Amino acid sequence: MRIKTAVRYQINDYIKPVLIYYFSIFCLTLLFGMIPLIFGGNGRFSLTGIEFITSIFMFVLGLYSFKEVFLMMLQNGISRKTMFLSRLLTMASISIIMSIMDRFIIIIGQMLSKVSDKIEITGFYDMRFKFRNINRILFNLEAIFITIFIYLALILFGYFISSLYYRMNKAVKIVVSISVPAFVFILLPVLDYTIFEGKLIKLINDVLKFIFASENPYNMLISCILFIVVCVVLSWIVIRKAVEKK
Amino acid sequence: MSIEVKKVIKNFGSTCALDKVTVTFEENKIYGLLGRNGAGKTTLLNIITNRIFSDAGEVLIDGIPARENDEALKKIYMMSEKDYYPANMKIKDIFRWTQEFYPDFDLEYAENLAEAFELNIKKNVKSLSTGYSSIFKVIIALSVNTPYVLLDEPVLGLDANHRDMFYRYLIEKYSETPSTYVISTHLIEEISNLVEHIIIIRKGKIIKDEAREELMSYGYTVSGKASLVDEYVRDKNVIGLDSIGGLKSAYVMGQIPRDKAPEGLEITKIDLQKLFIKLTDN
Amino acid sequence: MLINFDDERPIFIQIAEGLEDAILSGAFGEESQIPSITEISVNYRINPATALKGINILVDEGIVYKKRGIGMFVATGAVEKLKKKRKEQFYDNFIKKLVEEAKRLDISKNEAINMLERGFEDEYRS
Repeated sequence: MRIKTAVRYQINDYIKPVLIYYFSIFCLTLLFGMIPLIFGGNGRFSLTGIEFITSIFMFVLGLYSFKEVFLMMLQNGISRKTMFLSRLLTMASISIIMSIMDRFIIIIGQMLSKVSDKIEITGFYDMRFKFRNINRILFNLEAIFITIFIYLALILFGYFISSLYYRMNKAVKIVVSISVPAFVFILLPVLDYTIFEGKLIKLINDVLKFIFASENPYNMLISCILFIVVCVVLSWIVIRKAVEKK
Repeated sequence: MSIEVKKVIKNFGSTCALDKVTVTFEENKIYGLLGRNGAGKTTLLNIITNRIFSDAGEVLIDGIPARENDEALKKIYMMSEKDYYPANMKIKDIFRWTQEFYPDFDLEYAENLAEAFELNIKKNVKSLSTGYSSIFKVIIALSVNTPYVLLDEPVLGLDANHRDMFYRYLIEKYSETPSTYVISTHLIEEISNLVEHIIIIRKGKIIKDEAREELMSYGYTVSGKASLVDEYVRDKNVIGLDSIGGLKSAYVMGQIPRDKAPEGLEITKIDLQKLFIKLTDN
Repeated sequence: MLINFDDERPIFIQIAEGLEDAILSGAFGEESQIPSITEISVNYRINPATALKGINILVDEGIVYKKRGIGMFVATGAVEKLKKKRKEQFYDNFIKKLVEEAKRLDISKNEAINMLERGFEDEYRS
């Protein structure tokens, strides 16, 4: 039963950032959107891809408050197991909520776009998968469904990184912060050029194409699910032995 | 119903912080957990409350292993100087959440205590002074109503008045609704009349685990002229000596002698702090 | 009621004796309520178990008794009982010590008796 309380606590913890996020979007919309419209002229208000902004937000949200929540849970006699599970549930809930909220904004935006040709609001997903051959309702439902997993993957990724960084001491942090980018941007291309005759980069390219460049959104879904599983497993390995740092 | 610590070992790198520590905290008693800085008190308490992991051995709370176990852990509340509460959270919100995690938490009692201590619960954690930082945690510890309450240096930073208040509220609470309190502290004199059972830890090992009366009855001081004292304690278990000029005081472990002291010698009881110092000196 | 923590005698004994003194002097009349365990232990900052031990001595001797749900009360006849008990202890607690100290200071029996008489006169005069 304490897992319910743990979930409630963490959702409570997320409410403020989420509200600030949507409030900011709203304000920025007013600022950049309404002003040209009000003052006439050739201004067009264009917002094509709130999901993109939300995606970044989800990643940042994952990075946020690992230590605070971890310590609070320990103080209140919650095991790391329960803390981790409740965190997963919380992140899933937030992903669902944000996905629905975004879709809601997009749908309203699309309706507004029909009304005025000075407004152009649509979703990133809608533009990307324009040619899906299904009716509108199913399309939106599918969009919500797939976006949930995208957001969950991102927030989990942020969570994994913040938990990893929590456990690393200063020296390891420096090593990781340097060596990971170095590996990706320097060592990998070099290796590929010298040993693999370009096959490695080609493989990576193909994988990226599969995930991002397909007409089938379910490629994205499968990739996200795999990524989620990996993040969950790695995060648990990192967290199960975590203790308060001196 | 008790907390059983069984052969717990904890190493930090090459240092052994706890060496096969075995001790039991029974229900409805006030324990004094005494030890010098770095002796292992906080490490022991942290292992009991699942904040760190032991390298060997186990801890059972009412028969259930405490490690990573919510059922066991909900019976314990620990108050420590480290801040595990979010820095920006208001005290009244912390009270509210504590009630969620520990349903027996008495919110009204906590609010009354806050008033008595003049703690403004609208403040957040980071804006509190060291003293009030301890105070709000102590208030929670007194209000939480778990069977086991661990207090690690509860009066750190408290002024004399607040310390007095704390002891009074603790005794009142304990008298009306007994539970188990383990007080880990350096301020031995202040708690020596408060505790029923004393556990002394020295360099990761338990060296004393006895009821206070037994411990106190098993030690005495012999004072007087140095040569007389030496003669008297020749065959006794002396744990420490103090001398000024020609006068000496010897601290002896053993049954307080029933017969009167020889001329020129005074035999008095030993106080807990002295006993502690002599037992834990290097 | 004062407790001397440096005194050789255990705290619970001092509690018992302090209460006895108060009862004897009439501060706590017969059938009146005495302080609760909580009050005593909070007041002297001692463990309630210690206070309880002290009070139990008096309970065992029939000096005080417990009214369930209310508290501890002085028993009827407590004063008489206490006087009797203290009289029996008077010789050991006071007379013997007086004689020992007199011997130590080379005070003769007559001197001691004179002092005793003077003591009674002074006491009953004031």
